[in-house]
Amino acid sequence: MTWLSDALDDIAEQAPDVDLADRVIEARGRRRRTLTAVAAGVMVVVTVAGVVAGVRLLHRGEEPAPAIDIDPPKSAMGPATQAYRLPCKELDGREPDCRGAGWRLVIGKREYELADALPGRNGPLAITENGWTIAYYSLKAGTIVTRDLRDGKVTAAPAKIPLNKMGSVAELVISDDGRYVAFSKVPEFKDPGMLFDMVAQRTRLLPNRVAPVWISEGADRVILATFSPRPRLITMADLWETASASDQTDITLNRPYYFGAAAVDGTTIVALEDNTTRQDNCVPGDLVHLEARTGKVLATIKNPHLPMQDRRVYLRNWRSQREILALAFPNPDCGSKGMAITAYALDVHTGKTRKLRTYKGDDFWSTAFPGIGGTP
Amino acid sequence: MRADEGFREFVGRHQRAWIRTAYLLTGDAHLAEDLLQSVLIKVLGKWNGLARLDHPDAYVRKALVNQYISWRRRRSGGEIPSADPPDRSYSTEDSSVTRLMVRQALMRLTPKQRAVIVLRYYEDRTEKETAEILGCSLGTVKSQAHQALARLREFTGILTDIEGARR
Repeated sequence: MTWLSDALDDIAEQAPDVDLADRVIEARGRRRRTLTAVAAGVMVVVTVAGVVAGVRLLHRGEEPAPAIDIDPPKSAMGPATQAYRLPCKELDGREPDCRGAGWRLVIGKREYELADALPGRNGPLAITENGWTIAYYSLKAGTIVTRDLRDGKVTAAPAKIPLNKMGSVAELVISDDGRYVAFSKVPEFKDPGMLFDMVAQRTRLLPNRVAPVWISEGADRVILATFSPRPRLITMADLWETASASDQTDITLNRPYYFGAAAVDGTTIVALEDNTTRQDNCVPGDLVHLEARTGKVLATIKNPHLPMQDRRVYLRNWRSQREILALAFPNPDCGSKGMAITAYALDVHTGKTRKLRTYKGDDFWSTAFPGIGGTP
Repeated sequence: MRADEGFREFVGRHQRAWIRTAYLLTGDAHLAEDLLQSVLIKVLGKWNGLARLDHPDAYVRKALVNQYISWRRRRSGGEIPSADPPDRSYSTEDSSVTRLMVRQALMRLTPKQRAVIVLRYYEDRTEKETAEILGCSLGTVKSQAHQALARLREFTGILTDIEGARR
């Protein structure tokens, strides 16, 4: 009954473009906060003194607020070490116009508010490995821009991206030299992800809804991935030789992985198995080496020595041929009490770790760190 | 949090297809959003378990259709558009008019009939799959489809002609 199917297809085409994931997660958050408020009210009645003491302890534990300037100066005093985003709609008690929300760039001991950077969850930010160039969605430019912190030079991508096409979650990866920026977001709507050459002002289209996790030197090759129970891993090569990538692989894996950066030649990639599918969510997932084009598991390190009893760990960029950066985020579901992110050097052959430093922030989507690899 | 990321990823991948089905079922953009959102809130509550399924999207699809039927049962009267079909002759090329006619006619079906039509003729599911999603027997699907098509023809006489012309 083709006519009916055709008519139904036509009608379905008029369905609204919606993005419900954040709305649903926020609705759950509101419900939790309401429950927490009720529980807290009961606690106040029972033991006011205890709550007051707790609040005092919390205040003692806070770090002194750093000096905040609007925008970094034309010539910054040093490279960026991280950025973090103060949420707007996700947090109660903010000004209705979201003043004070948005990205903060950390340079040395100073922090700078990036007033022009899209502040929502769909406003991504990336930092080059040396910390001297950042990329973000500029409200003024209406597209992705790079900003050189040495001279303040801002370069806009060659294609505009309407704000209403930024989706709900967007991701950016910037090459080590700051020249190339890969952009993707979910949901896909009808427009694709993009790879920008900010110097030559060229654009290449990327598959949508797939996060870029690695760019080769010269951005001739990229690796993209999804983070889901059955992740996709896509490799693209020859990106600038023809109008579209002529050498592409697209595989679906049977196990949930979180990918780090690929090896220098792009042939292999390391990943952590998602531990939320285990019986105990607070036990570390295995560390695996995969062939990037086929997904074949080359090696597995069982139970790497990662502090996942109260943390969620994500792999980032390579520090050496043996060590990859692993960022451990507090995981309240597993009893985390800390509020800082801890960086570790993870030996991919032995699974052993060395603690490097701590960063500000506690949330995956609200932080950015120097270097390519995985997310954030 | 990873559970949220997985959920976000899952929703991002499938929501376009779900909202289209929800729109066909409800016939209204806002109701379609409300319907899908109410289903997804329940899905998020069970996400840790659902993420381990081979096809969690099948669960959402089933929940969507059944939630819709449940809604329509509670909301007597429904949302039947008041505008009459245009009084003019149609051609097979006039897809916008056909769309309008089908849309009007769909609103006059019972929730279950409408769900059967959407699953069978939009999602192209077999009678067996449709029965599984709706939680009813194969015979019920057949009879509902038969009655729904008869009513569609009754409400949109022009569609009978179109169907005949395409045979």
